[in-house]
Amino acid sequence: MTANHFQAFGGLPVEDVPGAGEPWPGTAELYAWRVRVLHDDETWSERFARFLDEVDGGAVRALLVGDWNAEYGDDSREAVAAIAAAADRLPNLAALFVGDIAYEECELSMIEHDDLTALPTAYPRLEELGVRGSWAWFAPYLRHTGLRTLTVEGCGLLDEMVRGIAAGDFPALTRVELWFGDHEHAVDAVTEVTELLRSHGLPALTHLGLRNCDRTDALAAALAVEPLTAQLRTIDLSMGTLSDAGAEALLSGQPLGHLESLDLTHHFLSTTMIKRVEAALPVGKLAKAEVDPKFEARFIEVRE
Amino acid sequence: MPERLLVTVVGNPGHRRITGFAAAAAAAGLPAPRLVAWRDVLSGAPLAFPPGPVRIDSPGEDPAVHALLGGTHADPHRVEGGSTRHAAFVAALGRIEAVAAASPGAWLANDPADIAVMFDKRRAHPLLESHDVPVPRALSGPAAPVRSYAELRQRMADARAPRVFVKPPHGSSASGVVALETHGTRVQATTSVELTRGADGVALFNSLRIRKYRDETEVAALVDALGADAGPGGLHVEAWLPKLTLDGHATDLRVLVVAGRATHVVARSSRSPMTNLHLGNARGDVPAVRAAVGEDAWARAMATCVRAAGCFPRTLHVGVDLLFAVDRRRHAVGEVNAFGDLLPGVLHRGRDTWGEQVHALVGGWRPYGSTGPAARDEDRVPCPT
Repeated sequence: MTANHFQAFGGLPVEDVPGAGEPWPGTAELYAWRVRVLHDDETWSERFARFLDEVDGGAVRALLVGDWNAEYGDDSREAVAAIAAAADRLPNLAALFVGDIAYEECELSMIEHDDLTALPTAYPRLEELGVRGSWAWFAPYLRHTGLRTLTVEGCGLLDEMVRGIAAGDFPALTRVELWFGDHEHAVDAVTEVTELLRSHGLPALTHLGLRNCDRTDALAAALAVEPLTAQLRTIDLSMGTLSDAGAEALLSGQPLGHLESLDLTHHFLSTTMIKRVEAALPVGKLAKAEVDPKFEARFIEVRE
Repeated sequence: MPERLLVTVVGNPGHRRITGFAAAAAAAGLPAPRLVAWRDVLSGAPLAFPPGPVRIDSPGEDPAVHALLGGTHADPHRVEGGSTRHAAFVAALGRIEAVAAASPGAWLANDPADIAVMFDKRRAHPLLESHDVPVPRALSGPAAPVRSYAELRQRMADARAPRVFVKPPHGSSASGVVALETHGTRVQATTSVELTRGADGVALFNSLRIRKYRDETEVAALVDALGADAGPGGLHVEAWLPKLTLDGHATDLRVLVVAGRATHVVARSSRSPMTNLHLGNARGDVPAVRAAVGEDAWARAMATCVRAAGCFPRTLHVGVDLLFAVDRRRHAVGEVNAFGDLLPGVLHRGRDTWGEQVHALVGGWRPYGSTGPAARDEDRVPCPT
């Protein structure tokens, strides 16, 4: 499968910022606004500037950065800088997603970002922050007291990103979702998950998604022993490559009886292991293991 | 207008296209269509057509016919040989035209010249463009042929198009089509072509499985082999128009235009850049596409399909591949297919695609420029349903 466009975000239906001279579908508070261009006369930054000029910025609660013609190889830096600079005009922005881009626009690993630290820094009241693509990272020792949900849909997740979260201070953060992908850099990111699971800066974290990873067994092994697991209520290891080895680690590690759910969708477990996992862990009813038509190695779900 | 029209069909005996059309003719009370086999056309058997319309159908999916068309690469699984087969096909169309001209009262419901253009993307693209039909931007052309990977990358750099579709000029059903993405030093080719290396060098096979090639050496070998097979005119290369994406699936439409009306519409949706249904893709949800783009964009797109069909005015039906852009506002025509009517089970006013053609023929449709009764106008509407 491939990445999807958002239909709704931050609790609001998504609408595109119309082109110059086109009618607005409604007032600012009604929608999560997506700024995107497709070979338009307007550049992304021009469209965003017009958005700021034409809407009541105080009413904007949710914003998505759509395609900035990412296929040409430019990363999101310009958009990130523009949004950070507009913080005083979007005082009530609660939800922000950078990279609402589908495969038809740009392949996941070819959507590039850079340092995103300016976004949470400029928007202390932000509650939800998401990013799709590669090379995104936060500077370490970031502190944000409002953020509740953080999502990074990467393909080749950077170890800097995982370290940035692990070394930060996010007292309100309850949900973290990371997609690892199957590129070389994700290998380092996987090893950094140990640091994440030892973090002291995530006291409110109750949901952790470690998804779409080509080394899910290593993630399971870390979850089986590291301390943060004890405070989680839901864990999501879906879209990855979990095999019997990873499941065995979960079964034989620290107690997981406190978990409300453990999502293992898209796995590579034997039928015997499926039965054992279903009996011992809150995984629901598992489907059969994924099968590659060419009997290749195990594979992640989103690999564009 | 004869009471009981006798239709002649040039096709492959036993194919569901033939049985489908025969069933539609029978349902309309017409005599059983007379079948002329492609293999007889190609083998030079004596031919004559009875008075009435001659409907040219696809020569595809018949190993014997493929071998007669095939020249050196007769293996139906091979990608190469497209130019050879195209030349043989065009010659056979010429023979049909000559036989029709020598058969009193016979007339062609599909124009050989129209069909030949539809099977040559290098000619069809500029023809559509010259009729103001929106098409993806072409990177190749007579002044800038793309015959190799090196030429392809040069054209992509010149045109600032990092993502393209590379198409053999005479391919159909996604055969040999490569979706190429480049990003810095990285390259990714998505295609149904299987590249093999043997003692004789590189060979290309059609497969039903979409593959990804990320090794530039492999991608270059693939494009070079396709380019060598395309002949001096080279490959047809278009900028990748990001397609409408619904629920994670790239979605486009096949719109059948019969006698100047958009009649049957099928949505095709895929997780890969190729939406062709034989590649394991599902039919999509037409009402969902229509709802996603809105009535105004839908109506404009249907008008575009009719205009695209109008580029082939001496041909009763064409199948237009219509792409909506990801922004849901723009659209473009990807291909116009001469034999794009194999849409079993899709009905327009109770008629399947073959029934629609029978309806138009019985209603008096004639190729543009011929004399005879005009088509009845009982259901002239720009868009179906």
